[in-house]
Amino acid sequence: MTQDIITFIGRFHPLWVHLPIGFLIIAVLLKGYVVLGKRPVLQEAVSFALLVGAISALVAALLGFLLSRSGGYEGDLLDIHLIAGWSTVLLAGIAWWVNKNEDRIPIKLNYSILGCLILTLSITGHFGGSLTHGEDYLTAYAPFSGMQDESKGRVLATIEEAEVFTDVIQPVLRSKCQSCHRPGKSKGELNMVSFETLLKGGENGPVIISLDGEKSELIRRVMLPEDHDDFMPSEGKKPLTEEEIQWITWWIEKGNADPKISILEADEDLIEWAKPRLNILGVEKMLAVSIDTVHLRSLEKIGFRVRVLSQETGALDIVLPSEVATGQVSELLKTLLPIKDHIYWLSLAETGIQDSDLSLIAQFSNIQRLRIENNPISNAGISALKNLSRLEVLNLNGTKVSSSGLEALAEIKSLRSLFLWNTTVNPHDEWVIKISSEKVKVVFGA
Amino acid sequence: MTKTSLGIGSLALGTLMGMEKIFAANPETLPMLSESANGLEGLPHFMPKAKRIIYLFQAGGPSQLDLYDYKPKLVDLHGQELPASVRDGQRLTGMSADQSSFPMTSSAFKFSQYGQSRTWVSELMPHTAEIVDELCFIKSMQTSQINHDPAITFFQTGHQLPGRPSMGAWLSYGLGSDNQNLPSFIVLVSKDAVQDQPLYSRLWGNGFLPSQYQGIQFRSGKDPVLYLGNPENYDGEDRREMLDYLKSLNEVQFDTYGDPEISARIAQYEMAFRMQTSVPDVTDMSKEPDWVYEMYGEESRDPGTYAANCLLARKLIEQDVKFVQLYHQGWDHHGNLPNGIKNQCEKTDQATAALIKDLKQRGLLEDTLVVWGGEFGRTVYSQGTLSPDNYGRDHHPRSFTKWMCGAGVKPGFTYGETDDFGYNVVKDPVHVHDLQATILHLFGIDHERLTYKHQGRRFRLTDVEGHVVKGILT
Repeated sequence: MTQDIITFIGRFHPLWVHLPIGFLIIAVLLKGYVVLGKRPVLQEAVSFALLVGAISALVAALLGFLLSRSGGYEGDLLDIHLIAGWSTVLLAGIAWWVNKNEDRIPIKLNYSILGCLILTLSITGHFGGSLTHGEDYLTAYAPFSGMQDESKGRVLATIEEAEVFTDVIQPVLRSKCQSCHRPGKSKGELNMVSFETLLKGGENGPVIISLDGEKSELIRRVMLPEDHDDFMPSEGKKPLTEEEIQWITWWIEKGNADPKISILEADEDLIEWAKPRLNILGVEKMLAVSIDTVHLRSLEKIGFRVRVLSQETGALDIVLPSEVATGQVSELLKTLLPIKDHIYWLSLAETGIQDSDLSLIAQFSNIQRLRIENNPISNAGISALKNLSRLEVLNLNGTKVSSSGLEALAEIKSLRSLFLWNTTVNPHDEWVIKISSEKVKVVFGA
Repeated sequence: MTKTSLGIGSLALGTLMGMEKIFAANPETLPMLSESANGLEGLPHFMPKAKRIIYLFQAGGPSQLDLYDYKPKLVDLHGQELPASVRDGQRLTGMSADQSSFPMTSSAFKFSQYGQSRTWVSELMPHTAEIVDELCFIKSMQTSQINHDPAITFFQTGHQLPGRPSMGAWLSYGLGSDNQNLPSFIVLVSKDAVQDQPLYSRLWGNGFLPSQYQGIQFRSGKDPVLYLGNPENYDGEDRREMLDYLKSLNEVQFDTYGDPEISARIAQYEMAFRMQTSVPDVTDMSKEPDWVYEMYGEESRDPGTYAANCLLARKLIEQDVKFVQLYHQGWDHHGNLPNGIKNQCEKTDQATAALIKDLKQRGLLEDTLVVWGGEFGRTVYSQGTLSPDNYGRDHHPRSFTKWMCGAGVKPGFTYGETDDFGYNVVKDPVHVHDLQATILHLFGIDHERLTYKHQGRRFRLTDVEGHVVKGILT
């Protein structure tokens, strides 16, 4: 019963604190007006405002102390708030006394005290707010804070990577539970910010019983009728949706509360619900995000022509002009390795590349258009290209390839244009006729 | 003013601004992806099909009815009055509006079908007939302009009044340059054409875009760019040193005034310096074997002719120049059309077809777009007296034919249809803005999102219109 009374009275703290804040600020503003506006007659009002400010601050501090006793608040934030709060009370009292006896006190000391008062008041208020709303409440939506992205969840390349706990459950807990169940304000001694602390449970024991949703306190509390005393989230905060509860239940029952289990193990409906909530960027966009622009710049310095084909996918068109390549093409090609997955179009015409260089090019697995015409390339090197599964256009004009060496290219299903001008390949060759019938356009001289 | 972009002097104001100049202070802090290509941040908007374009502009308005838009029914209707219901009260030009009679005129030339696509082409274009399976014909082009200059200006800048940037300037502005040693937008005007209607350099101008995006006109002669050589006893190192000092002086000026045109000027000196070697290289025809000249036609040996310009266009494209714009005048056949058009075709047909074949065999057609056509079509009725062997045709904006070829457009394909009179479009009309939107689309640009703010509003090439013609895309 006494605990209830303490809690009841303590909860007036958030209401009451606004009084000393207002009084003390108006006191300092008035003081400024007295000094700068040369209105000494108002000095009495300054003292009065400081007096009521100090008294209301004392009351606020007492209420705050009672609230902290009611449980659920702890940690560094509370300590700072507490110390700053009492300091405010003390400073407000001193400021009142100093202003009352203004004539006897150096003017600079008076100003310093008022300055300190405002400072401690701000600190108290800020940490009080952080206690109630969470530490990131103020800054979460500040521009360039980086917190916005975090609140969206981590970036995934594919849905396969998504884990139930990290990508589905935790965002729910973050938005619906963690304003109370977090370090600094662990209501019911339950801290839900990480898997480990969640597993530890609260003052009434564990909240998750693996494989048994019904017995898990976490589920029971959110499934109660909304007007039940134990219903969570409490105090009129937004309840969990049906799907959110389904997900947590599924995770506890079928997923064995395994933090690493993939979301694809769940039912289709659940997956469908989760999909739009995940931050899936796709492999190609992940590539775009990871593109190393400094490296591109250094390639340009070497003499490569670098062009972005698509901002979305980070696809690049790379041209090595023949005058740059002279005699060092193999070394130059190696500088492309760090961006090999970004290269979609590549032109190495007349650069002097040889068969041995083609095995390196074969690693550029996203290549769609490859120009290697007018180079001393022969059948020996061509077979390396057969693993380029996205290759659409291949220019072999003026190379030493012959039809026997080209058979390897039949394995490239994506190929649609093949250039064989100035080669020994005969347009009437059996292989050419065959591949032409498979929708590959084979071009010889005009 | 028509020649303002000629010669090396103008290069100082001419083309692209070198990255290394703008960001000379700190070249390592360049976070934007697109800056590597020197274009706008965020462009291309999506994966492009085309990397370069050759626009073969046939100025004057070639007669679609005598070249590509075959209308066999006109044979029977030849000489009869154009039905009022077909003309539908259309306002005509002052040149033929007062005619007492509008006799429908069938083409004097024979049409046949060619290629696997069985495309109808007139006997005037025997070489183009050989390549129809590479071409994508749009027979339903429409424009809003009925006179030459507004119509060409409309095609090249998206607006009939002068002052807007040209398509090539928009592309340079948006996508930057692929070869820092050459301008990204080069203009070649045939010297062997009948220069009946003038061309103004604003057709390849930058409008309100920064001046480095304007097209650079190469001269139609032996020296496409003048004064590329150094004076006697003055070598490249001297030039370099001079430019370095000049640059420091200009930088002082820039620090004082902050005028971006000063940076452009610095960049242009550098460009001109690079062009001292790149232009002689690319315009050197001595390495072209004889079969090339035979392919493009003997006229291609004479610099400045349409045929030579086609060959030069191929060489510029090989060097990754983004936009090569050819102009060939003389298609304005109000009278004496049969003779006039024959002459025009003889000068252009072989080289045009050779260019396509050449680009194809070199593999360049995969990422190069070629566009052929004029600013409007010509009327089905004869302007002036229709005699048994002679007729003329007036300007006709309601329907005409263009073709495109190469990167991203369907080969051996015909899009759109006109009625039996070749007067009105009856299927799939394509307006000038639609064609512009489609060209930008092939370059990976959403035409609604490439804009430039000027005098308080955002302008774009397609003004407030334009739909990508999806039907011609591969």
